[in-house]
Amino acid sequence: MGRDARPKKSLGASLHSRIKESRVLMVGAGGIGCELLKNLVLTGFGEIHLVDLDTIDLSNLNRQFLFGMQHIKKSKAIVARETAGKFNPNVKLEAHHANIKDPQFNVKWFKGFDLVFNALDNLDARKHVNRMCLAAYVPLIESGTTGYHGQVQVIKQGETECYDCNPKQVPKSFPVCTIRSTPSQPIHCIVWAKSYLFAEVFGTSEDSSTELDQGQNEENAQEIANLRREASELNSIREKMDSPDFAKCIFEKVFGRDIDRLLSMEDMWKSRKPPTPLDHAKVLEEASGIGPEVAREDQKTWCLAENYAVFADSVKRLSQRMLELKAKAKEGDAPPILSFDKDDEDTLDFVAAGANLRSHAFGIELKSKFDIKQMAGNIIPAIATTNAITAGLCVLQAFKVLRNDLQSGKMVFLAKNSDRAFNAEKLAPPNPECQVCGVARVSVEANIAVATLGDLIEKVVRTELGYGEDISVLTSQLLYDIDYDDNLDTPLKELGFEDETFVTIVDEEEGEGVVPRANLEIVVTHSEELADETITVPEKIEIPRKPKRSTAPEETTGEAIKHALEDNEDGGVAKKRKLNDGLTFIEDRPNKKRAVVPDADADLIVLEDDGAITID
Amino acid sequence: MASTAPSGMPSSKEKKYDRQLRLWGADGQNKLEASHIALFGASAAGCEILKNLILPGIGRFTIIDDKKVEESDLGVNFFLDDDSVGKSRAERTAALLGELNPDVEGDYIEDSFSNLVATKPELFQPGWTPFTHIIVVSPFNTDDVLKLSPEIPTFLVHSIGSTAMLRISASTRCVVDTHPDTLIDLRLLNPWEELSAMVAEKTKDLGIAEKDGGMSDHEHGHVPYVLLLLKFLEDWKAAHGGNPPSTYAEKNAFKDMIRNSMRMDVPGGSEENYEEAIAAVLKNIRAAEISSHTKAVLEDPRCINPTPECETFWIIAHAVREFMNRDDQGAGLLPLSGGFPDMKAESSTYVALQNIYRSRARRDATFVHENAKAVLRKLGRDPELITLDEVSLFTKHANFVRRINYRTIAAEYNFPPDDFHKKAVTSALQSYNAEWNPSLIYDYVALRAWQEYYSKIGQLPGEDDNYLDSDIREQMRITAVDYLSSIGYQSNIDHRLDQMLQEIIRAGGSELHVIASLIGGIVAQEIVKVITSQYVPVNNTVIFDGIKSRTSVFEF
Repeated sequence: MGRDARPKKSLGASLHSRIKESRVLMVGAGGIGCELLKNLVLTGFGEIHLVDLDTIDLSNLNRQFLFGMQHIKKSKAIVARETAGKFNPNVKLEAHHANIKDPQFNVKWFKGFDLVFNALDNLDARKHVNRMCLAAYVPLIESGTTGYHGQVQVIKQGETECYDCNPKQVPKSFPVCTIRSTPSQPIHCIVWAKSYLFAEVFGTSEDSSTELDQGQNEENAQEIANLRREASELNSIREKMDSPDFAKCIFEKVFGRDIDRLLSMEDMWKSRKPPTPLDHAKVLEEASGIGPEVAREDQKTWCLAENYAVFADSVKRLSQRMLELKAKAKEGDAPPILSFDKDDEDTLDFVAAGANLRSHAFGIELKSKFDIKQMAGNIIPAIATTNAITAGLCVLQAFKVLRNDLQSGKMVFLAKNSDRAFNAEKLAPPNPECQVCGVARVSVEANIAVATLGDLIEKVVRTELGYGEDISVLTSQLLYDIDYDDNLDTPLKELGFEDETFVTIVDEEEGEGVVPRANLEIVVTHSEELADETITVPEKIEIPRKPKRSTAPEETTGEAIKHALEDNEDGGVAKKRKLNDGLTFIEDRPNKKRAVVPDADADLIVLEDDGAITID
Repeated sequence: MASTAPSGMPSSKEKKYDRQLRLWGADGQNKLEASHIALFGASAAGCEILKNLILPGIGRFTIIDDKKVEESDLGVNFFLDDDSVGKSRAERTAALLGELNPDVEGDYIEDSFSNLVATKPELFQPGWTPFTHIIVVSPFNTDDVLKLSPEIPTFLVHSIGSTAMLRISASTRCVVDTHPDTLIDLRLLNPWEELSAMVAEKTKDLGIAEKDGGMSDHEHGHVPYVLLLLKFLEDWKAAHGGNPPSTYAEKNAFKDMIRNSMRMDVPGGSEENYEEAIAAVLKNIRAAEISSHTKAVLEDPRCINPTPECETFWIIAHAVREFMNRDDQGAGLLPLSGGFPDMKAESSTYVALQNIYRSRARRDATFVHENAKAVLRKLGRDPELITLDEVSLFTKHANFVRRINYRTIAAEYNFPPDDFHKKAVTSALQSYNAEWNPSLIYDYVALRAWQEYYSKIGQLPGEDDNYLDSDIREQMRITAVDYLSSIGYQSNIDHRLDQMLQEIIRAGGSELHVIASLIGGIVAQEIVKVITSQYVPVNNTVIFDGIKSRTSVFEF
């Protein structure tokens, strides 16, 4: 019997040959990705492309079996191709060590695949691939795991729900004032220690960072100004890094004077419990005799004095590293900085102790280093078994797609419950109000260096597609509406258009009996061959009218972020519950702590989303 | 510069296993590292199971297989490469799987399961065997697996075409750390002195407006909902002859009672703590109930009469039972878990309230610990054998502990079948419906016929092209129908049985990689649960249908 004999016998000749002829894309070569690639290779998929931006880390090796110790710091995509490629010479494998959002991976490129698999770990890339697959009309198999839980979903434009048809958990974000002035939960102090204290003392100062939105309004303007002053004072303490008193300087500043200043703002504490400044001399005395080895006890919740000992020692270790970096730096180099890494013990100790000291000052529960690592590093538990089951289910769903049998495609949930290992439900039809798949789509070609926004609006939107005067045109920003016509004569390229750009047209027509059109997404592809301002529209389309009651906010605005947070708190979870009615094993969010409802108009810090919990 | 030496460096092993330590902790990991897993049959499914156990770091594994690698193996088994063809399958898979994790020791034996069962019985004898857990992958003879000891955790696995199955057999598993969704237990209908005192103190001015010397809006909006519920319960009971709201209608009336005393002239128009109180009524206003699983533990003879040799689980269970029976201890209630939810409150009040629950839980655990020590003394065992930590873990999970009595494989294959088996299979067959209850019971019947065919003929059905599939199907159908009559089920045999027989004959004993990989995940997951004694393992059979992506769990 040859290599193919068994799969052919079990799958049947017709499906087997369809698999051999297929060209598939796999986005993500992590936990699910390794399993999936192995399955695809052994099942005999003809051509497999894999894209992953990441490099291999020690903590991947408990499940990502295509990688070994010798591969640490190397590209996941490339190593996965090398390891898996050996196991079936008949499969063509292509690896891209790149970001799936790169412009080279445009709609046309996606159209070249029969099927796309998402094996990603973050919301942003998932949403991107979802959108590209919808635009390219390529079926997508979306998957994710956390701990013992997993989920697989088949997505096809016009036939099933898309990834965005249901609200998703967004990465947690907190108002600046909650983090800097009025923390009430351990996570607030952890974010403070990681994104503020560490950054100011050893990393990139907030003023030069884009991570913090420094926008302000009248109400909090004064507090923001105060906070900024505080930050710059702290930043100037950096100059004392070579002094033996460095830890004391930081401590007295952030746990002493800054807290005194907060206390002086009496209005702030009318409805809150005021903090208590920490006394350095007293804490230092209590901590005498506590050695730095206490930092190793990561499961234990340290007392105040132990936290101080770890704090002082980690400051010493980090300062030492900084001074060495400075000594090595050549003239003209940018000043060296350190960045927080959950797996870098020195930075983790500093953040853990710093967060706990602040919690102590504010009367908030202290946490163990092990727990703080999870919260600060957005760590999601992950094991081989769940990934194996989930990746297997992905391939079984792929068989349905290749057989053009979406009718029997399934959305499958996996749980730790032992009464049944997992549960499948029929694929739901698209949500007509979805702002991502519920849009009409058209592709056009234009020379973006020549064609202007006015050309696009007049020739395509109004003349070809029949829109009226009152429309809004947006990319990631507003380009045009009836009161804002400044950009009409600007070539598209100067408005940030690239080789491929998604433009949304919102019909704002109002009045008695007028039903506005559904949102339209125009994919503008750049073409050098078009010498003038001509825009070509390959196909005529009918734009459907909006279903009634459709007022979802645009995703990119600050308003939307806040809205999403509230969704997260109530709507998101409640909706999901309802959706999964009867699937009793779907757990609550692992983090049972409530999300904070942001203060009105406060600025937001958006945490990075590499740890977004994407399944629930 | 001693103080700048790396002080908190965890070993690279801890870093490697970080993501799973967050699921089962250091204790689970230690148990995993103490295990020695035997795999009989280096099939694709067998290798996938082992892969999923080697990656998280079991201690050792041994692969037992007497076959040589064929080219067709390469198409389904990832842990065989071109160079392996013609060589020992046990040796090659052990080598390639071993590469996955240098911390795991691997070994192999070139021999068959049948032969070892017959010639080296000590390999399967409790007390003698080096193996802590045994995996047997099909095809295997029924007679051979019947010789396995029910004391050693054993995992029987089929992976045939699109169908797969796992059967677990083991001595009784006692699980404390079952990882329930929540450990919160508010005991609202059984408040104790300290809690009632706090209710009185924190709610005495609740109904009085600020201008009349009562609470400010801030104070009123920060009374923790647990205290609100307890306070309103007192009021309710006073008006209802001492009875708490019990029916749905009464609970709704109780909610209205809370809603009516909420201040509405505050920013936002309502108070969050009151909303929380209302939302918690249905779930939390009910008598403390003991779960059926905990009852099973407390009524087990091993709990009632612990022995000098028994596991500490039974000693603690006995101590909990005594705690409940004693009026000066639990007075009918289980020890308190101490789990306490997040809620709107002033930090200081919240912490004080949380401490009342925690101290109560500690008090209960201490009672149980004392009881346990007394039992140990009475049994002539070391009274310090059981620590307060071990007791606390038990009391925290008191309402979620599990005792799983696995039925033996011999009991499943008994002829004539015993009543338990008859009932399990017939009730599943009777409730089968292709439309609305398409359980995989017929898959089980078909797999049993397959198993019998192989055990009798020594060949996989459909493997040899010299036999007509239809003849084999007829033969297996007779076997299946015989089995069904032996359990007393003769009529209404669903079409699904013929479908399944055809399906598994068509596969001819071949594995499909993706199914092998999937069942590999499921089996390894259950083995990890059994080894770590955490989470609740399946009892005792799980069947997977790869065509519909469905599973069914049965106890046979």
